[in-house]
Amino acid sequence: MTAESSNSSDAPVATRPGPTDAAAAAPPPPRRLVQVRDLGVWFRLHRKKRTSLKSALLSGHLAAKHELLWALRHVSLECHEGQVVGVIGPNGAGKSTLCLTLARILTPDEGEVRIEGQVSSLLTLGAGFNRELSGRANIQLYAAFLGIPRRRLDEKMEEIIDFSELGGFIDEPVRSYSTGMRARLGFSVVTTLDPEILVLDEVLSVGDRAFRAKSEERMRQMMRQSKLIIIVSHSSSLLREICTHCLWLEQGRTRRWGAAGEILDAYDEKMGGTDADPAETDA
Amino acid sequence: MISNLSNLVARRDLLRELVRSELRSSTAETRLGWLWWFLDPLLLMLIYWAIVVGVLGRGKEQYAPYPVFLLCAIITWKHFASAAGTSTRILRAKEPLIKAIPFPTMVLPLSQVLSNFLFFSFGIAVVFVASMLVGGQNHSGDYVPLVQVPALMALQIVIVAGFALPLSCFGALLTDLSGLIVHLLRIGFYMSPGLFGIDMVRDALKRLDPKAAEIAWLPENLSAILFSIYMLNPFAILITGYRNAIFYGQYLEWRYWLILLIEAVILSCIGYRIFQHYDRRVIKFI
Repeated sequence: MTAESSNSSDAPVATRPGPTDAAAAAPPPPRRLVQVRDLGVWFRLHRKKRTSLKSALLSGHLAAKHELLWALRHVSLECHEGQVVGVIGPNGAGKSTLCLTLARILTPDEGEVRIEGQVSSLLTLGAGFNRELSGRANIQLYAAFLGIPRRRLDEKMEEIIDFSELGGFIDEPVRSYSTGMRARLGFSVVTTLDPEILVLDEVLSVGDRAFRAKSEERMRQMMRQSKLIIIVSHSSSLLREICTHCLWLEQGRTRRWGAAGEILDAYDEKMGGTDADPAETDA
Repeated sequence: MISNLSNLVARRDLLRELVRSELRSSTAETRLGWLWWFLDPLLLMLIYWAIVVGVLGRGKEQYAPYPVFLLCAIITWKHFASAAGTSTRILRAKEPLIKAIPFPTMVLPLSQVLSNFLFFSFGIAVVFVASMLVGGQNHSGDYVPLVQVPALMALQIVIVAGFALPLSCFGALLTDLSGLIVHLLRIGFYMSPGLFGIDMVRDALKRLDPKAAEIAWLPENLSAILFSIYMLNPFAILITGYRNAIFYGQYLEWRYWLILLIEAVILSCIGYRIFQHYDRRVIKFI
C-alpha cells in the first residue's frame, strides 16, 4: 500500500516519462503547496470514563495510559498548485482527521505536514456562535475566529447579510434561529474568505433547495479562486465531477493515490455501486 | 514559545472581539445586565457584614466602614474566582469551535481573564466612590497613594492569567476539576484577608510565640516567619494593597511589591509553559 502511494505521488499523470525527458521538455512544474510525509495521528481507545483526579494522582500522569488508535498512519501525499484533490473512503477511514491535520487544528504525532500558503477550512459551520448575541454580532465574532480583518469584514458585512437571506432576523439573537438559518449564516461568513488552499469536509449542502443551489455556485466560485482544493466526501460522483486527483483512505492507511478517474473507478468497484446512497451522503 | 506568543499578538483582534461579545452577551438578555456581576459581591458583602458586625459584634474600629473594607477584598477575589472557574470549563465548552477553526486557544481563557477584569475595574471605582462618600480611614485627605491602584491592577491581571491558563488545560483533562475548583476557590477566599485585615493575622500568629518559646527546636521569631509565609499569597498582598491605597491612604511596603512582581513573572511564565505543553494535546481529549 505504502509503496503504491509513494510511487504515484510524484507523477499525477497516468503515463510517466523518463526523468531526463521531463526535465528537458516540460515547463517548470507547478508549485508544491502541500507535502505530507509519513503522517500519523493517534487517538486514545477504550476510554470508558474520563481521567479522574484520583487515577491521575495515582498514576502520576494527567493523561492515563491507554491503548492507541492510529486514525492515520504512514500517509504521504503531495499536492501542487491547480489540483483539486478528493479524499474518499468508508466511515472511520481517517478522512476527517486528515482534514483537521491539514487545517492545522490537529498536530501530527508522527511524520510531518508542510503547507505553503494560507489555508482555510470549512469543516463545521457556525460552531463558534454565541447564542445570546444577534446574528450581526455573531458575524463579527465568527469572522474574528476565522481571521478575517475588521476592515474587510466591514466592507463585506452587507453582502454577507444579503447572502444569508436572514433579513430582519439578523438583529435577533442566534438562539432564536433554526438549524438551517445558523448554517446559512455560518456559510455566508466562511465564503468571504479567499484562501490559497481550501480544505472542505462535505459542507456543500446547506439550507433548502434554493439556498443550496446558491451556495453551490458560491462554492464553485471559491474553488475557482483557490490554488488548491482538498475535499472530503463519500460521494464519488461529486468527486468525479470536480477532482483531478484522489486519495483513497482505508483504516487510516493510504489505499491508493493518483489520478481521480482511475481511483474512483476502483473505489466504486470495491464499494459495489456507482455512488453512495444520497441520504447517506447527507448524514 | 515565541512563535505562539507572536501568533497571539497577531490575533489580538480575536481577543478583543471575544471580550466584547462576552460583555455583550452578559448584558444582552437580562434586565439587570452587568449588575449581575456585582449582585454576588454585594450579597456576600451584606451577609458578612450582618454576621460579623450584627450577630458577632466583632466590627473593628479601623475596619469601619466595614462594608467598603469587605468589598475591596470580595471584588478582587471575584475577578480571580470567576476567571479561574470559567477557565477550567471553557475548553470543553468550546469544543466544537476548537475542532472547526484553527486559532490560538489561549484566547479563550484570556478572554475570561479580561472580561472579568473589566467588571473588576468598575468594581474598584465603586469601592473608591463609596469610600469617598461614607468616608474610609483616610483622615489625612492624601490621595496620592491612589497611584498604586493601576500598578496593582496590572499585576493582578498577570497573576490571574497565570492561574487561568494552566487551569483551562487541567480542567479539560480532568473532569473532576471543574467541580473541585469551586471548593478550592472558597477555601482560598477564607484563607486570604477578606473578612479581616492582615493585622489580625499577625496578632493571631503572635499568640503562638509564648507557646513556641517553650519548645527548644522552634525558631524564636516563629510568628514573623509564619506571617511572611502567609503573605506569599498574592491575593493577600493585592487585597492589602487596595485597602492601603483606597481605604487607608497608605503605601504598600516595597518588599510586598517585589514579592508581587516576582510572583507575577513566575506564575505567568509557568502558566504559559503549561498551556503550551498541553494546548494541542487537549484537543484529543475533549
